[in-house]
Formats: sequence, C-alpha cells, structure tokens
Amino acid sequence: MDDQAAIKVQGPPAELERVPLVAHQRGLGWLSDRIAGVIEGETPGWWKICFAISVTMMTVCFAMILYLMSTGVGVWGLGHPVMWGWAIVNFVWWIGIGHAGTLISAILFLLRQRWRTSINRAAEAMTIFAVMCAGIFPLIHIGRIWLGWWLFPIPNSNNIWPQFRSPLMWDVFAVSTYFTVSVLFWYMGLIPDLAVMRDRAKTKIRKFGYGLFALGWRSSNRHWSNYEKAYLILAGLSTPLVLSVHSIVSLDFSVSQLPGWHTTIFPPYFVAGAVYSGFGMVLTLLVPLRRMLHLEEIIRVRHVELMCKVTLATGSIVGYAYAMEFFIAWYSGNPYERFQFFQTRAADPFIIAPLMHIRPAPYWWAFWTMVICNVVVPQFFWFKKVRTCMIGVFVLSILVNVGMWFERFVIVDISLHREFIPSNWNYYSPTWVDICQYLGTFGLFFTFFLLFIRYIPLIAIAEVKGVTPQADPHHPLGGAKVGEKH
Amino acid sequence: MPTSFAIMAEFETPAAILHAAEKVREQGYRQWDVFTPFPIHGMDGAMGIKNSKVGWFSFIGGCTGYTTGMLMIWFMNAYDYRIVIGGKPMFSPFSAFPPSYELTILF
Repeated sequence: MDDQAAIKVQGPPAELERVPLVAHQRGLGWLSDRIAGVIEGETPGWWKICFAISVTMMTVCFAMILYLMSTGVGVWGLGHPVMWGWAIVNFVWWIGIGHAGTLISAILFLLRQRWRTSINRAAEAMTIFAVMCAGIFPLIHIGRIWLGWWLFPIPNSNNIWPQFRSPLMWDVFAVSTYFTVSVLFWYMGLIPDLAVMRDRAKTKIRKFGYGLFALGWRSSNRHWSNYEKAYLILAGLSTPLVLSVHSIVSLDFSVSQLPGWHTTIFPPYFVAGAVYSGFGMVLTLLVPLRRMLHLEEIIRVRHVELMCKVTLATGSIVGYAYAMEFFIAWYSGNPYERFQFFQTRAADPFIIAPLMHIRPAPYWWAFWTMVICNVVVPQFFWFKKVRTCMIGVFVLSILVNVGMWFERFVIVDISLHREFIPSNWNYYSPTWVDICQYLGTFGLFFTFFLLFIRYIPLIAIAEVKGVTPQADPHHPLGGAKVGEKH
Repeated sequence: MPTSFAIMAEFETPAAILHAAEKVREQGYRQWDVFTPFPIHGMDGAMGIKNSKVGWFSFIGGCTGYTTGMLMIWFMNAYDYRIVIGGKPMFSPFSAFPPSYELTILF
C-alpha cells in the first residue's frame, strides 16, 4: 500500500507520465529470463531456413570475389569514364548503414536517451557487420588484391610510402579505426551480459565460452565504476568518430573536381544520409525480430516510433541537401554544374525534359527513385498512425534503404557518366557479377546477424535493467521511502 | 567459537543496498565490495570510490595517437621518401589531419 501511495504522490499526473520503457512493470529476473531465453531456447524453424539462405548467399559473395580475383575487374561493368561502379556505391551504402548503430549507442548515450538501451546492442551488431560488408568492396575494387597491403603504411618494394594527401588514404584509416572502435564498444557493453550468460549456462562448453569472453566479470561495483567511465569515454570518442568517418568517405568525392562531386555540402549531407539509411536498416531488422522473438514488451511500439522520428528528421535533412545542391548549381552560374544537375539528373522524359526543351537524362529513373524514397517516403512518418503500424514501418524502412542505395548510385555514377567532353560520355550498366556480388554481401551480413541473435544476448540486459524504475534507488519501486531526501 | 573472515548480505532493492553501503563506508571498512546486476546511480559515492583512472589513460592514448599520425606522415611523405604533388609543400598539417585524428581515437 505504501508503495502505491508513493507513486501517486511523487509522480506527475497520469496523462503526463511517459510510456514505460519496459511494459507491465516486469521484474529484473523476468528481463534476464526473457532475453537469455532467446539464446537458451530451442532453435526456431525460421532461423534455420533464414540461416540456410544466408549462408548460400554468402557463398555467392565469396565465389564472386574469387571469380573477380582470378579474372580481373573486367568482369564488372566498369568502363571509361565510369570507373567507380556498384562496388563503390555498395561500399558507401553499407558503411552508411553502419552509422545508425554508433549513433544509437554513442550519441544517444551522451544525450541520455534512455530508450536506446533496448535497441543499442542489435544496432551495434548491425554496424559491425555492415562495416565488414563495406570493407570488402574497396579492397576488391583495387583490382590487384594481392597488392592491397600498399594501402597500409608499409614501405613497398621500391621503398615508397603511401601518399597521405589522398582522401582514399584517409578512408583506410577512417574505416579501419571505425571498425576497431565499434567492435571494442560493442564488446565492452557485452561483457556484463556475457557474464550473465556464463552464470546461467547449463553445458560446460557454454560456460567456458561465455566465461572466457566475460573476462572474469563479477558485477562488483568496483568493476562497474571503471566500466561506466570507460563506456562514457568510448561513447565520447565514437561520437566524433562516426561523424568523421562518413565525412571522410564524402571527401573521396568532394576533393575531386567533378561536377556533382565537388561540393562543400557533402560531409554533413553524407552523415545525415548515413544516419537516415542506418535507422531504416535498424527498423527493417528489429520490427520483424521483436515479433518473432516475442520481445514486444522490451522493444516497444514507443521505441519504433522514436526511431521513425529520427528517420523523419534525418530524411528531411537529406531532402534539404538535395534542394540546396540544385540551388547552388543554379546560383553558381557554372554551366558544368547546371548541366550535371538539371540535364543529367532531373530531366525526366515526361515533364521536365519537354518543358526545358532538352534531351531526357539517361538515368532520370534513378534520380527520381531516389527523390521519392528519400524525400517523399519519410514524410509519412509525420503521422502517428503510420509510425505505430508495424507493417507500414517495415515497408517504408525498406524503401528508405532502396532510396539511399540510389542516392549513392546517383552521386557516384550519374556524376561520372557525363564528363566534361561529350566524346567521353558513356552509359554504365552492371554485369551479373556486380549484382551477385552485391546480393552476396547481404548473405554475409545476415549470416553474421543470425549467428549474433542466436548466441549473444541481442538486448543489453544490464542496461535495460538500469532504466527500469526498480533499479532507481530514488524511485519507490527501487525501495526509496516517501519523503526521503538524498 | 570460529572467527569470521568475511560477511555477506543480500538486499532486495537498490535503495537498501545503497544505504547499507553508506553505513559500511562510515564504519571505515576497506576491503569490501558491492555486487549488483546493473550499475546503481550514486553507488561510487556511497562506497567512497574515487573517480576511475580510465579517463587519464584515454587522454594519454589520444595524445600519443595524434602525435604518431603527424610524425608518421611527415616522416613518410616529407622526409624519408619525398613525394611532390602539384608543387605543394612537402608536409601540410591539413591533409595530415584526418588520418592523425583517426589515430587519436584509435589509440
């Protein structure tokens, strides 16, 4: 009775109370059981089917790499002047997807957004696997893969060092640092939960495996003290890191002098697009997962809604960036810029081209797919009905990813295929190897992701416990007495 | 009567363990600890633990990383094997900044 009264006295009026992050005031033990139960339970049938498909696709990925290595980059659709094709598009796309994981885990942590706890583990895992998929492309794109070590600061056979004025060199450092820090951040957050899994383990192998990676974690407050500090620092370091990585990726383009690439808006524009596509991917993954693994009480509709709002915000920034690119192309008065934006991107054969009396752009369909998916689609998230309809969110989140893939395609390939001199113009189309290579990375991604949800707690147990009222020593449910002062 | 070497207590709520920790601290005990399934806000103060040293290590690591990056790029492109690019200066802190910055974070 006392506790009940205390809630009424201390809390805000019921209509102003926020939706709790865990439904039904579930206890701490229930949380451990529920999340660990995903791993300890029997392997679900859908998991086996998905895993079989993913592994097959992953095999395709490696087969394509092998074919490329043994034959040469001629198996791709590259040709002058489009020397950066699907591989670079996929690289930028995958690495952009990774950004949402770090944003959720680091930036939302610094902003004390407590709702991040239910989704950060899965989002960080997504980051790591997406960066792995991304990392494949520039490596195989160099053509002579056996000379890939020239990218690292090791003197080659002529004693020549890499050239650090090139943004491609910066990329090597940015992406490898990003991967390392993401893995460390993810692993550090995992340690307390691996210890939970170790303590619950029934078989010797599990006890040993989880115990080995839990690094002797004992949940002592002396551990927690260092852990929390280190987590805060890693979050503080990851935040500028995540912003810098996609900025550096964008510099690959904007440091060049090609119309369509050579703009100063690129770094913030790329980062916003990365977060936008990443949240799209998080939604694509978590909306079905929460249902299939029965985690609706922990990953609630409120979480999905909040992610939709972030998608809306970043999607609108992306839309603004598109508009600004066009405005600057027109305002600069530069004929090459104007040609690039108005005649090779926007000129569709139905309205704009006839109105402007110009030839329709060869890739008008790619440009307009991008605009519809990235500018129009996120605007649906203004409506609560859309944000709370899980099927709607799922479909829209896939469109977000389609749109962002086309954005990379528009930037990379449309800019390239119309050079300064018309005799250099060409039309680029991918070969079957390009397509299979891209699909293959999905296999790689989903194989790792499925293994992750099967063997590692996909929700941070300790962190979710930390945001429940039962864990707050100043909350009546955490044992605080009425009217007590601290 | 056997001497007791250690004592252990279990608490139901975070508030209870927090207050118990404050009392143990007041008594002046040194070798003791609190085990919780999640970090409890205010427990460091209640136990009298000083600010973790992790921050200092990170700071030193960051400084080392940045210096390493700058020195490495200067050594490679401006000292050991000079590479002329567009007649620009051999070493420029601007183009060397992005990799050095990444190394700051890595270290």
